[in-house]
Amino acid sequence: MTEQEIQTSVMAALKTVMDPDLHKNIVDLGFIKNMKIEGGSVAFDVELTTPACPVKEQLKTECQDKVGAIAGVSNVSVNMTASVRSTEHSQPVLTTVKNIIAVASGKGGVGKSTVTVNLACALSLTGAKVGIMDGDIYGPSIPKMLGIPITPPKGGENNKIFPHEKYGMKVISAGFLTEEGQPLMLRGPMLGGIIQQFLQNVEWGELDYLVIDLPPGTGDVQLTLTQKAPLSGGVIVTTPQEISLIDAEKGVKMFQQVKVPVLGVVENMSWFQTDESDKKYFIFGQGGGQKLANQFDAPMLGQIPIIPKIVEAGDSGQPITITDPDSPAGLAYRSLAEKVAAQISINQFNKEDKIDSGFELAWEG
Amino acid sequence: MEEKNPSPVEQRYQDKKELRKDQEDGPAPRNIKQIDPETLGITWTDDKESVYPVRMLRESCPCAHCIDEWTGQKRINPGDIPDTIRPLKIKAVGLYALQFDWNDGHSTGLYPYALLRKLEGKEPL
Repeated sequence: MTEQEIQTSVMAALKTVMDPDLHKNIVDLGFIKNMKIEGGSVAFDVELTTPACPVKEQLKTECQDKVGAIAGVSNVSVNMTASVRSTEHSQPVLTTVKNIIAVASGKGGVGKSTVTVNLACALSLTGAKVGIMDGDIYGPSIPKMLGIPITPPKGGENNKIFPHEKYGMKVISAGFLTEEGQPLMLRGPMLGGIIQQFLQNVEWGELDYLVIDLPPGTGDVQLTLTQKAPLSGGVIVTTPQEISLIDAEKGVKMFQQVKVPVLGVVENMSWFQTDESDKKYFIFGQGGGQKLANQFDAPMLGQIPIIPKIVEAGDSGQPITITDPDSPAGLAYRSLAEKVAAQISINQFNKEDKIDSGFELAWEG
Repeated sequence: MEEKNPSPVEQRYQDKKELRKDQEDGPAPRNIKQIDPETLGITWTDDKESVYPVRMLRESCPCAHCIDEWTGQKRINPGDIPDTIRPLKIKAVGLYALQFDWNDGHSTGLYPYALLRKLEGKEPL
């Protein structure tokens, strides 16, 4: 066979490889890049929409097997890469940030900040460029959880603020704006002002994912963010117990009413487990997260166990996803990151044709 | 027994409830354009085409200056809004509502998409 014929057969074979999330073959999706054929050697890149793709290895194997089976092909080299796509918008803020994920819960104390930090770490571990915005102005806990000393962020020209950096991630928090241990005592409008600053003046640089830790409830911060920030989607954190679900339900409805796509539900504190045994103790009951997901026809993104190590990790500023990525909790968070990233990609492909959040019309006459 | 008429507060509660429901799973604008100096046109994601007299939109402003937040009573009366009312600019608020900058200086009303759908076909006072 000529190289030309081999190329035709290779493309035909790759057209039978489907992306299970996007329901299209990887050729039509435009994933195949840099195809090189020399004699019987075939090399190409598969450029996914996120480095956190949950089926990366599966796709690689399928490409190798299918191309390797073509007559005349002696050697196949598949290089998996990723280029994160942007959630399109024309708003003049956060223009260097490709996707913005808001982590919310109706209720306080369900572990939103812990989930935010570990979700961000897990996305970062895949090679994505990640930032964290601590939206909890009154009770910022992100600096402590990441072990970042409380120092004012560096400023630049035009009121620019440079975020702190830790574990390769950019971090901004109201915690940095006051002395350690001092409360920020502000009324609502000031709260909105700080969030505006975070959106407009922070030099994030190029980011694939910005994860925002929202405060509990459905108040000023949530409204300002949904109005001013081009959110890609929201993640709802709940515990399995009924009392937490009442408020989590409100969190989902908040996103629905402001038409921010709900990426899915995370159930935190799903069970307790000791280091010594695999036995799970469902101390807050069972099935709450799934019930919420079903109620709103939203994806169930994951269940995170409650184990002392997560708490220790948070208190010592070393998130468990960084220190122990292969522990049950680390694995749960990495799977969560993959599902969140996949859901964002799915939403981008299924995007409805409608006006975006930067729409403006000047009236004539 | 005769059904008692709902009080203004009860009525307001009902109206808000319906609007919320529609807002959660209702359509969004696909295209928004000026049809003539007095008319706004919206094409929706469900293909419906709506036209709105801009004076009616100004009269229907849902903000707390124009509608009593508690009773739902309108504070704009027929004739309050002149024929010369025009938007200067229309902009999206997040992914869920439109905001109008009016030539009478008013701009505090946010019109959620479900409200715009409800105002379809309504005439000026």
